[in-house]
Amino acid sequence: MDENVQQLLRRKRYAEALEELLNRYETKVFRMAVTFLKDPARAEEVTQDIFLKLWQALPYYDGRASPGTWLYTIARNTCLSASRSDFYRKTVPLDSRKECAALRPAIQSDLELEQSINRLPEIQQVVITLFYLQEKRVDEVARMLGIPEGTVKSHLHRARLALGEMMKEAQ
Amino acid sequence: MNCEHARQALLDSLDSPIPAELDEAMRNHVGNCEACRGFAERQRALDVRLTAAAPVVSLSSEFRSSLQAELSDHPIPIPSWPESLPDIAHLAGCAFAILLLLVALPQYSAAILAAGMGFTLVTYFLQAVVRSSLT
Ligand SMILES: [Zn+2]
Repeated sequence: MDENVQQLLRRKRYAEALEELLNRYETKVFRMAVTFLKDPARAEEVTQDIFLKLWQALPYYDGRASPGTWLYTIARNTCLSASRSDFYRKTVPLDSRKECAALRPAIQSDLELEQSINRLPEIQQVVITLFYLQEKRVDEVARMLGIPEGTVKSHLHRARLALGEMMKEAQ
Repeated sequence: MNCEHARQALLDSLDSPIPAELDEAMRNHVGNCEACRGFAERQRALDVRLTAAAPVVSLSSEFRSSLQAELSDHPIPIPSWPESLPDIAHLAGCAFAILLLLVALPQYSAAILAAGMGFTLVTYFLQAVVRSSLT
């Protein structure tokens, strides 16, 4: 399917290429944004920004990475700068309502587990949350974060061991 | 299989399916080792909890229509010249310089052709490097 997108881009059929990319990646990109921003409403806004940036960059696609990997790079950079700017906005005291929404975690409905995850180093939080949100695919998480699969696995293992220890203590 | 290998195999099996022989060896060890049995039970329970807690998040039904509205506000910027224009200009410039030298100094035609081609290749490589660093 990525080859199909490449062909459309070569023929400068940008609207169709975007449609294909949306069909294939919009949910994955959205879940990635939820992981980074921990707020579905904000994640949806950022997902829109990501596809808007992608749209404007389509004529400059150079074929060095597959369209999916390229989209994930745009998504990662956009999520990181959005979460950084949200962090600074959160320090404004009057904005307390927004703060609650932004702190809503990606892993919900299990408060104890959520608190344990929040105690992990940030990269482990991101990897383990992405893994369970993205249908348990190590390769997909690696592509999203732009790191090797082996690195994803070692973060996953460390997170599992740490969470296992926390569960043992809680018992 | 020792405890360390068994635990490693168990963690690997939670990431993605592992080879059948490895799976069997791991299960054999876990069945006979109390400490690893506790470890395996905890890790499997954690995996179940994480799976259950991951919400099925999806975009709202208005996502596509509001994106479409944004897209029409931001038309795609079409590059003002074709991608191949710098290549064409470079090759045409080099060919023109070589021709000019051949006409002016016909007695050195072999050296001019060789040097001209070398120069063309080297400068082509340089401009390709510069351009790729710009994008
Ligand atoms: Zn053991």
